Amino acid sequence: MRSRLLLLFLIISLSFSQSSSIALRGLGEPKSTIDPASIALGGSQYFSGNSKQTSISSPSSFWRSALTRISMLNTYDEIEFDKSPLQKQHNFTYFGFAVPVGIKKVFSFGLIPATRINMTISEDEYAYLGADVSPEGYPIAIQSDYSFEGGISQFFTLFSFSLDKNLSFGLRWNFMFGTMTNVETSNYYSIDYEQDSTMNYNFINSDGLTTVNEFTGQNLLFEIRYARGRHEFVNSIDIVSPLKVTTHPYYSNSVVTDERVFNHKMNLQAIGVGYNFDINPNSGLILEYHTKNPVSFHEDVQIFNQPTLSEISINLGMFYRALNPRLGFWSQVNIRGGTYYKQYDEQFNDYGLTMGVGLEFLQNMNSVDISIVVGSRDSIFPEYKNENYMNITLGLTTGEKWFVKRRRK
Amino acid sequence: MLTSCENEPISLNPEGGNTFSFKTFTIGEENSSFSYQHTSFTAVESNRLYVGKIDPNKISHALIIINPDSLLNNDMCSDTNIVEFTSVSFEMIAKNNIPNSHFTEIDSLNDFDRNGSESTFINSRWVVLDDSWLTPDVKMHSLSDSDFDSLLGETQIDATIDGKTMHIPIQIQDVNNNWCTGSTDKVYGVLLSPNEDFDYLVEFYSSEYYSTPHFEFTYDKKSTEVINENRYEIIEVSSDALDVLEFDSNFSDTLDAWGTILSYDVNDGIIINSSSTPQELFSITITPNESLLDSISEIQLYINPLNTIFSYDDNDPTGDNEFCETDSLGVETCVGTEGNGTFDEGEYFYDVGIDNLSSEEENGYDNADPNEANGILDDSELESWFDLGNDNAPDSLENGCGGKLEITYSSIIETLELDSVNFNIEEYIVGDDTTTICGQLYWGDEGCNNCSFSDPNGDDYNIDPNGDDYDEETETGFEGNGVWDFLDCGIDSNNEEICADEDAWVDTFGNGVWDVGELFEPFLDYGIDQLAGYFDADSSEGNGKYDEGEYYYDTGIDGLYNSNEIDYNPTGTENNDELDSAEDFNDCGVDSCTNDIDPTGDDYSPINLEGFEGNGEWDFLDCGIDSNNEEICANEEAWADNLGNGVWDVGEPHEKWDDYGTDQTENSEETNFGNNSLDYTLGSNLYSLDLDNPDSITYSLPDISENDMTLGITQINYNENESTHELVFSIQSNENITGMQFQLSHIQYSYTIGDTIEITQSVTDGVVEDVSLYTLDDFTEDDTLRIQYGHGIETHLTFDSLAQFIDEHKHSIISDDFTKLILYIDSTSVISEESTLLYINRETEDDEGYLLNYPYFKTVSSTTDSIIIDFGEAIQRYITGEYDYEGFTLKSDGQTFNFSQVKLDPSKKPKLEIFYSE
Repeated sequence: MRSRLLLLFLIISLSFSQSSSIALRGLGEPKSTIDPASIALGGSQYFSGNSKQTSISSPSSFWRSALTRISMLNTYDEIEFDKSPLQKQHNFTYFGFAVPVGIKKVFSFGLIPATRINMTISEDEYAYLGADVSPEGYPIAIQSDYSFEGGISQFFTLFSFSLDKNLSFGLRWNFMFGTMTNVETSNYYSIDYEQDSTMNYNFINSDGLTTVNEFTGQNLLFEIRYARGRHEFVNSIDIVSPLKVTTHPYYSNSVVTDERVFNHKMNLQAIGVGYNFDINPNSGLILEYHTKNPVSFHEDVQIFNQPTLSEISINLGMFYRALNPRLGFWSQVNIRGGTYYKQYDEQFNDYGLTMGVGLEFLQNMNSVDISIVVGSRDSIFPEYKNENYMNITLGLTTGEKWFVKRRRK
Repeated sequence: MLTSCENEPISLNPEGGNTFSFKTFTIGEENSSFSYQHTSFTAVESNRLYVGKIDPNKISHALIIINPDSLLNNDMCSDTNIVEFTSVSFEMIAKNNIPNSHFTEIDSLNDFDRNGSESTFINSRWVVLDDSWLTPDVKMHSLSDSDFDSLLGETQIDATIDGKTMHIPIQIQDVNNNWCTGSTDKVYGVLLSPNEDFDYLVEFYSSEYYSTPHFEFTYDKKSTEVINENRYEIIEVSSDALDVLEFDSNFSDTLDAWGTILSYDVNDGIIINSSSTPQELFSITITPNESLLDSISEIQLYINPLNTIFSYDDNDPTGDNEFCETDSLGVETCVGTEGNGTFDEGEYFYDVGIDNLSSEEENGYDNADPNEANGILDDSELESWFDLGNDNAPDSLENGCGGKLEITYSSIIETLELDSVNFNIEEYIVGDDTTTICGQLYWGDEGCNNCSFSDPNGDDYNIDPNGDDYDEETETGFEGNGVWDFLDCGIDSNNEEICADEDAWVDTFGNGVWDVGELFEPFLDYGIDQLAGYFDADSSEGNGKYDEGEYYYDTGIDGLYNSNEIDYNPTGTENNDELDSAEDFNDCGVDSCTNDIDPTGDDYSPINLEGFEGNGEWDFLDCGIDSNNEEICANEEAWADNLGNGVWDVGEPHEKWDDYGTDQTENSEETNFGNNSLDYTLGSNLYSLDLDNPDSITYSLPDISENDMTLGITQINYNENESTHELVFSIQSNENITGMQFQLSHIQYSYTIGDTIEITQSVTDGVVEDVSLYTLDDFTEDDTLRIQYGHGIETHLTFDSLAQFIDEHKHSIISDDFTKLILYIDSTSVISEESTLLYINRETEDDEGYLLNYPYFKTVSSTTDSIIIDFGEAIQRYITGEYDYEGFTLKSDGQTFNFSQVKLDPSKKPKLEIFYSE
């Protein structure tokens, strides 16, 4: 019973979403980097700067810890648009369980988000119908509201192993599920004029359409990691296999129509490469490059009928590990910093600074990491010049040696 | 952890957001929309059956098809308690009274109401049909003239008429011998046909309606009845205690009161004295009912407790009389409030004052005019009233500060030598009094916009200061007339400019259109779309002149709405033709205030709190002895409270009261005065006579115990020779009895017998179908789109480009409120006064269904010139693919007059307006 409740808790938690203006395309804002230890390193996906260099975001790093681990993450976002109220989000974004299944072999499963949106938009300009063409004989002003909520969540299983002392692999298979509810409301107003010709709007009625999209699909992330001496290289390929979207439209006039099903073919979603250089045993530099292809879905499924944006990113970070010279509660403190540059659709720039700190304790078996991201990006909407945002992620990983045969003294 | 943050909406106009369009569709120029006739039409589904002339050359008959097999399972045939049918008829209900032999050519079917039972104009036939008539709509299509003639060849039946009902008799033996035995395999019909010289059309309700044709069966049915018989007869009642004239008894065994004995003294005297021992009262001699001797063996007797009452002489039934007791110490204690000579709280008193005269009884009372002093203005013609406003001052006497002057405002201004009213407050001395007036500065401070020299207090009611409101009666005035107005100007016969608002104006002076320089109502030169800066296809925006459809202000030529006109004051109280709260009026009724409703001035009122009359309290005048040792009372000037004792003493003036106690009822009026009921006991109250072994029996009188009286049978004496039983009733009472009534009852002998009763019952089983039989009009196709149920005429509508629109807008949201189907009704339509129902249905190759929501139709009356139908939901269903678009069908049904014909106006084609977003 407890495990069922926990599962329900996780599914509900992950159903809530965060979003930026990037989310107003495609199926919501794609989520990739989730580990605060990696986020603090300029938004790295492959490296974390902790004692084992394991990152929740990187399947090929999981084998490095022989502990049975449970990890969970919390994220808080703030986005500031030029003229609009501050947008805040707080989400439970990850839950994972990892267990060693052999020497340098780890199996893991859990829940992570794939896309998210939670935004309400209200048009600030009216559309008009002149009195000469209006069905009512007087001019009509129309203003629309839009609301989007939900996104795709993923249940993942992951296998990570090391082939030899240099080469390791990671494979993550995600089962995608979730719903997104889109509500469009058109509000109609009649127009009259005061004697000084000031225009008055009088609400008449509204029409609307609520669309509930249900997602099912699969996704495969493959990583290869090569480490030699103070150098380490990582390469990943992210493939989305067929995604099925079932759409249920509900009209405000109570017309109910049959569901529609849209199937999307497999495509290559993202490729990334990364490099880590250990300056010394306690510090290092990372550099990553990622590119994501735009994904086009059927226009009835996409938010505002717009496809997702292409994305490239360059991430640069460094870390320093302060070891506790004495045996005690805490083992080491990891200090991280970085920067990144992203470009969407070859025209919208996104810059940001990252920093973070992590504490490993109880013989490095447990850790708490926090990351802060402060950035600014060009808004995809001409009404806004840019969006300033801040992101705080808190992660907790607890490890224990389970399933290990202990030697008798 | 679980809930995300709630955020305010972001304001932006997203690319890919909704766009809105409005599109109008009309029916095609070619023959894509057309009317047609269902050649296979029959009126089987109509609510009506028609008998008579549909038009001068066309007759309609009505045929009701009956299958007797359907009656087999009905109670009429299966109920074994039915003895026989006494009459069977078939009933038809008409919408109006059915013409009978009293109907004449000058009568109208709608208001004909002369009674008569003979069916002169409608002939009824009972016809035998074949099985093919069980599906009349199919049969009718193959009905030949000879077939129909053979129906008419059947023998007529003499039907009768009762108002709206026609009774068609049916042979009872058919029902008995054939229908209820299932031995007939025939199908029958009732055929109603008009006489040849009958020029009217009678509407009957069909089986589709709830007043359906039906059978009326009258039959005798077996029934059972329980019979109760008395087991004995009363032979004699005698009494040693009472004279035979002092009591009465009821021997009539057909009455419920059989066995009742009644006695009382007409003078309310005592009929039986109280006693401490039992005394015999009555003897009732009975004998067993001879006719039941073989059936009964005992009689169980009892005194009916529901019909037993004994009364005694009680002069104070409620027990409120004063009763005094003196104890052993000689102290007397009294209780009871009636007759104690003192007013007791709760006793009724006459609240008329110490004079003990009500106002009406006082000398000089006059209240002849009911309108006087009633606090309301009864009639402005009778009672004088000045509509001066709440300041009660005409404008000339208003002081500008909200008050009233004794001399005019203008004269004070003049006396004070003020050049204008541009002052704050000025004082003016008149004799010993100082008067204050207020001016413009004061009005400014007080915010009185309506205050002026001519109306200093600003209370003049005025809702149209410039007098330009449109008057519907005279059709004059510009403001609010619903059209854009201008003042036409021109050159008069003296070659001088003259405008339409001048006296000498003649319409021929002007050109009838607005020219630059002529006065006009303000308008917004935004074009006929009424939107500034929007694209105007006809370039009507900013052209410097008013175009039909542009937004205008219906203010009149002055360009001001009433509320903006100077002196506008809708809340003013002067001259508002209403009596306002502070306005005085002469509340004298019609007789100039001659009423005097309180001549002695003792009425209690808010201004006379010392008044006694009507103050709700019992009043008296306290009296005492003054310092001169003389009696003095509270109404005298030298009275002081300490001279009295504060309570009423005998001899002191007082308001009358009825010394009847707190029940306010005199003894003689108290319930049961003189004859109050006694509490009694009847004991076990069951006495058994064994008829097989009769004998004398002695019983003890029931113990009186706590009761006032006991009654019972104390002796049963059997007389073998006469086979009678003497029942001796005895009584013991603690009170003198003034009246009594009791009833000897027994458990009756019951048995059941059979009987037959007549029942009339309506049955609708057996009526298979009914239909009006007439030939359809020859349909001629022309440009007129029309709908008529009675001849199977419907209309198919196809709108140009609508199919393409539906295909191309699969993701559009159709507005419910702004999407409409508009049909223009031609004035030559022929529609009965009960209107007709128009259905707009969807149409496919092999399907048809409702498009509108319940009740699925629109009502069209003879005065309807257009119908506007909300069509958003219907179009949305096409858009989403729920329906396939292949045009619409306009049709009527048979719920109303079948031969109403709706025609669509050929000069105004049906229009479909779709407002949508995508």
